[in-house]
Amino acid sequence: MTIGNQAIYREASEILSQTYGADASFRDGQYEAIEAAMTRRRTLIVQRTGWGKSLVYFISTRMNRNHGRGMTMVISPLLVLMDNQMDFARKMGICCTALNSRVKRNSEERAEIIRDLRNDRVDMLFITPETLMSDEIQAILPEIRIGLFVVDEAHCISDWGHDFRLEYGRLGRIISGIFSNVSVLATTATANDRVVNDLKAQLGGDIHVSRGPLTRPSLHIQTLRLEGRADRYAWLLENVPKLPGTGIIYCITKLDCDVLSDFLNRRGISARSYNAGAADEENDEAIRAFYENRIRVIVATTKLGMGYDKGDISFVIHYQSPANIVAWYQQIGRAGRNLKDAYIFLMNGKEDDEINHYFIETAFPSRKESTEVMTAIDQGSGLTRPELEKSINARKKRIENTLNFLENEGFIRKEYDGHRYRYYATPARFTYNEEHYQAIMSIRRHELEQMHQLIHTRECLSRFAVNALDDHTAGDCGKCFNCTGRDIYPDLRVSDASRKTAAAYLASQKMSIEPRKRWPDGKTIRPLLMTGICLSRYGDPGYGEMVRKGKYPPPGVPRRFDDQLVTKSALVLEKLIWENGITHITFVPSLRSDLVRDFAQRLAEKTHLQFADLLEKSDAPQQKEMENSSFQCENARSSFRVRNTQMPQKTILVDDVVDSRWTLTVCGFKMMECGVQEVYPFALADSSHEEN
Amino acid sequence: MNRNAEAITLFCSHLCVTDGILPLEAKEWSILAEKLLSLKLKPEYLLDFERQDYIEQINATDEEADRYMRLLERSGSLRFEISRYEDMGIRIVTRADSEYPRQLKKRLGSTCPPLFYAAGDPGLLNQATVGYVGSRSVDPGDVEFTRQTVAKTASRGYGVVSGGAKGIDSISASAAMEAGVPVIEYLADSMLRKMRDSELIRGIRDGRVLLMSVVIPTAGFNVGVAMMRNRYIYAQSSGTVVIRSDKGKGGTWAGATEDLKKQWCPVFCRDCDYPGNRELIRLGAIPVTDEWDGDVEVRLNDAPHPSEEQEPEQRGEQLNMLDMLPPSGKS
Repeated sequence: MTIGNQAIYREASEILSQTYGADASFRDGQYEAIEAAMTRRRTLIVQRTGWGKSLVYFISTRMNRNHGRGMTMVISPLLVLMDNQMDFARKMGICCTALNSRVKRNSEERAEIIRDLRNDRVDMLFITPETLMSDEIQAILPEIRIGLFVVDEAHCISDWGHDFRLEYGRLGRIISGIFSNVSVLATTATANDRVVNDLKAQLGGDIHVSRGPLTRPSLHIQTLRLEGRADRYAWLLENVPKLPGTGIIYCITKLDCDVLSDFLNRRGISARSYNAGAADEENDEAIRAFYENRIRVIVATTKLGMGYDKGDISFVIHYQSPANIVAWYQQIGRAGRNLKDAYIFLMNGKEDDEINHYFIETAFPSRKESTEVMTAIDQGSGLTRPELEKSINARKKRIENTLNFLENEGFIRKEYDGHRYRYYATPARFTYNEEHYQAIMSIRRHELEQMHQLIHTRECLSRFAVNALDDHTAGDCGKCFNCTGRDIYPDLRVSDASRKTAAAYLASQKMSIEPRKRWPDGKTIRPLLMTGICLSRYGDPGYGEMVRKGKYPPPGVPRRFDDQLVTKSALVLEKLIWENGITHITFVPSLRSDLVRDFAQRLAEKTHLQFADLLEKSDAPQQKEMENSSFQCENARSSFRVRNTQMPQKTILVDDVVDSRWTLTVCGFKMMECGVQEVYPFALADSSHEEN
Repeated sequence: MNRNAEAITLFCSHLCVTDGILPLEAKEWSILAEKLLSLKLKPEYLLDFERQDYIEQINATDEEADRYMRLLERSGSLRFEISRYEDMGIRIVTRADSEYPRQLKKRLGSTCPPLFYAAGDPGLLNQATVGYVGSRSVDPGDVEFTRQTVAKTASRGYGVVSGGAKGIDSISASAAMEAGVPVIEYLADSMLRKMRDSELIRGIRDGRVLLMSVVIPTAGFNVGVAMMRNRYIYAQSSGTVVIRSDKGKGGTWAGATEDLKKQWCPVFCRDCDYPGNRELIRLGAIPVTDEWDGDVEVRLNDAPHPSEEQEPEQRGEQLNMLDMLPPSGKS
């Protein structure tokens, strides 16, 4: 241990022994980090989960407060502040609280936290970057004295990091310009050399770096080659019950979380889904249930990763292969914190790459998107987002991303006019730094390649992973599949019976189609369509794949939807038809083919409903070329007309693939204007993109 | 930001204030800076001072020490707000920065503000300019005279410095843009609102326009500030032209009469029947008509020449305490 300042050392040691007893001592590097923070240096801690990063800032906070200095602000993407951390803080006499989107606005709880902050009664505040940047918190900042900034999961502020986030990018600029009379402590458990160097540059000045070995000896690692959803479901069904304790299953998409957790529950494995699409209350309840071991499994997107502290997680399973080793290592780092052994499974198959590539290639807005949005804002005077959507044919989500991107890069700014945000250009000259974005994308592709290498290597998996994080101190773990040459847990297998169960479950999956409720200008749609049904996800194994083949058959095969799709559709519609007294089936016409018409006719026969040809299509661009609501709705409105014919009272409206739902909504609306009372949309497949 | 600039910003910026946080006014800062100078201390030392240091080292009262500590302790919070404005293209220029308008330091001495909020290329401050002042409400004759006169001074290589308000200010600014000479605007109110104008933004982007303000970018109009900023126009320019003034009241009148007393730069006044203009000419302003050739150097005593050499200054180390003292000041 290097002691530069005796007074600081004495005080820090005293606090340590008050908390842990007289014989407690600092772990390697902890004291040095405290001294650096106390002497107002910038400090970067790269240490594995469980090393004791929080002790560093807890003691620093205690010392600052003893000397009447400002409070500590811990900026962390954390979800819920765990009780043990609170207890720990209390034990050290630190008044500590957390503020994130879960502490509801206008709630008494939030008001009290704000009050305490303003009255300098809080010693340490955990806050998410989003909340910190919110107008509400920015407004009370003048009343808060900040003595120490802690940036948790600091790799997020490096755009070379695997998990760069825009809010963190802004945070990076704030931190790098912070006045020299405030200490900054940045921590991460996952950063390779490139990210560490970038962080050092961003934090600037005379920076103290504390870096230690990243190996987690409790982890047993195994990769599982499993192609397709059915095999993965079957593996989980059969083997999760055998594993000890509780665990996390990570999926890439929200929908996967929901479906998989439903499947597990139906088969007697208690599980809950945790993802960005769910309501906060549901996610909170999922976390609580998991924390209290009331469920065995939490099925989560990577939203559950950082800042989550449950010591007895005994397995982590990746349902798909993540995009890089750093992210994966961070996620598996949640396991086995207070256990001797924890089990890590990494499922993978060739279909995983498609989604990983999609996220890599769409990480930055394209030059075209950025230029279009920039030009519109530059020429306008305070455009709003809906105004931009009207003038730019790009996905809403893409426009939103582009706006965030341009704002983050300092090319535009937004101002609240009392009703909505208006966007203005800043004096910064717009340049699209293609080289930089390409360089980042190429690194991410390289990292994906590294993930493949890990999956195929015969070397020790643990060592391979920490080497990828530029920790070259590790030896072979002696525990992983590659080291031992056998399964990391006894009796792992997949039987044909489980495969059948899984396949049957997946085939029975159907989704509802919620019709659009508002026009793009925000006005309510009246009359409204009924909730309908969608049979599959486009391209998914089973029906989804059949839909694709029907639309795009191999050369020489005519375009036609398979009879199995008719049979299955009739089956899923049966209850709906019977319960609602539906009498007719009609369809969304196309100028290019009779594919849907043919299918609707066959479906009418099968269900014994009357086939009705109610709509007419005029020549218009293909709906799939329309990228956002304004364009989609406008295009659909001008494309279809209702025939002058007898209208049924209740009908099913069939289309092959649903994406924006505007075609179904507009066609249904037009038919209802002409006298149809209830329209039930039905589609064979859903192709809407899902982005987390 | 260099450490001296950090200290000035923490002591003097009105960003991030609330009850109990009282930034130092220009004069107060000058007194403190003078005290530091006499002790051979730089402002940056203040960053590391504890409360006791103020009392022991610079004889601060308890009250002053508390006030200073509270200003310093907003450091973390203040940075958020500064960064937000930086992202919008607005930054702080302090007396410890080489970009600070040197002309103001020279002519205004200790009364020049400790810091400005600025958007645009501060290099424009080194260009010779002619100031244009006048009322907000104008008639077509005023407009025409302003345009013609700006064209004349522009053809001699002078940019325009004005107050960025409606009327004469904006007419002279747009005439300058048309003539292709730079525009400096010392604003009296919201810089952010000003920056909604996409034409102006392009001017800033292309290095043709510089906005300067002593009040925070969201500030509303304030008479005192408007009076004060007139000084900066006179102090910045090689000569200032009064287009139209009320008599005995209003900002234009106050600014012109102040300059006639202080002689920061020669005052030119449109020779016409407005009572205010008449009176200013009687008080010593140089009358100019349609016939004027636009030469502001005729009666030049101390205004800078466009080619005047700039002293070298290095960012971060150029805080010359003497710069901040009035020309006659002693320490």
